[in-house]
Amino acid sequence: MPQPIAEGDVAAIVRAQLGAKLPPEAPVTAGSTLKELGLSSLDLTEIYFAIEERVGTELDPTAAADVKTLGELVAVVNALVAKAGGTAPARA
Amino acid sequence: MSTAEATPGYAGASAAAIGRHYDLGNDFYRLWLDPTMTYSCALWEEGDTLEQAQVRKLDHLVEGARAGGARRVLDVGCGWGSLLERLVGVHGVERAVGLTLSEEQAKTAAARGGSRCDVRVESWADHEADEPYDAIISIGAFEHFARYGLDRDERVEAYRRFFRSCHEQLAPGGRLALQTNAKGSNVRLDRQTVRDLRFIIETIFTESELPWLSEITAAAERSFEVVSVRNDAEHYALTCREWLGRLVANREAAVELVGEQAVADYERYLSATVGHFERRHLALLRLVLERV
Ligand SMILES: C[S@@+](CC[C@H](N)C(=O)[O-])C[C@H]1O[C@@H](n2cnc3c(N)ncnc32)[C@H](O)[C@@H]1O
Repeated sequence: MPQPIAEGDVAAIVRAQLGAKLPPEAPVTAGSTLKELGLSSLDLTEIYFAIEERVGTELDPTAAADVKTLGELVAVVNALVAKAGGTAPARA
Repeated sequence: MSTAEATPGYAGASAAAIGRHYDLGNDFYRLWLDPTMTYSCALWEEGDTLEQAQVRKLDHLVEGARAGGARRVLDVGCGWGSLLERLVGVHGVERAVGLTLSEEQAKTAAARGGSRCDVRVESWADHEADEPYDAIISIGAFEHFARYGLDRDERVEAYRRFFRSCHEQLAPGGRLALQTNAKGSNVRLDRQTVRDLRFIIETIFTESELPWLSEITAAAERSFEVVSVRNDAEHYALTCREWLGRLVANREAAVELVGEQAVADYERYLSATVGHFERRHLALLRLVLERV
């Protein structure tokens, strides 16, 4: 059964994706915008792949096309997980 | 004055980035492009050779821009000059001006175009014509007008600057024929596609980004009317397949000119791109726009 993902896990995936491009002291929070994090559309696609692996289901890539912040991304992912029959999103 | 440096906002890829790509050497490109040295998607009909399909494409855009018999025509991103040569040689254009950021290309284009052509190593952002043009054609250059990493609004703004500049240079009612790669609506990329696209952006076309069709039309709003749009994605798949076949057939000579790594990079780029167009991750747009 697909599992919802926590904000902290997405933040970790984002850090891993950006690697050295993101200074370790730079905060990655729900309010961080994808733009200020410097995420390109291909970065986002790769982050999506990593999230899919974590939640255990394929996600509709068009659903996240307009997300602006990391928090919105988490919400979109967990809504898709719920629709795919996953458990209710865990409260952070 | 609207120079690239003085005006805020993105004004297109740097001459250095363009040079890295196109200055690999004319001889290298000659090995796998058609004899006219046209480096953009062709327009294919049954039984065409690559050269015939390239010339068909040039003529199609000349017709779209109503450039035949015109007094003054601008070619933004003139490459090695195939369109310039055809404008003055076949279509009776009195004066054709070509812009490129590559010195190597400019030399070839100037030699081919002859006295009725004026080839400049200059960006459209810095170009100031002494007289308006009757038509503008731009083939395969728009891809360089936005940088990877700009967001949608920033891209639209960069493209708007281009359309404004065309608007300034074009006589009222004059047409702009524009051919460019664009993003395709199939956004379901598999991992290999993401790796290949990243490789192309980082290695082959640095400082480049593709538009969505809607970004082009948004940027042209209030300065140009859209006359026609067509998406010929499968034509670019065919064109890249043809280029790849020629490159592979001339592999030894190519390696001698640019080295094993560069040849392998181009093989990867061309073969990946065939699939990107076939699967509609990429689109090939040909637009005709009319200045209001
Ligand atoms: C893929 S080539 C296409 C050349 C030619 N139109 C053809 O179809 O063979 C792209 C061309 O755009 C030119 N270019 C890129 N950015 C430009 C700019 N800002 N101003 C003028 N030319 C530019 C490059 O120097 C190059 O000649």
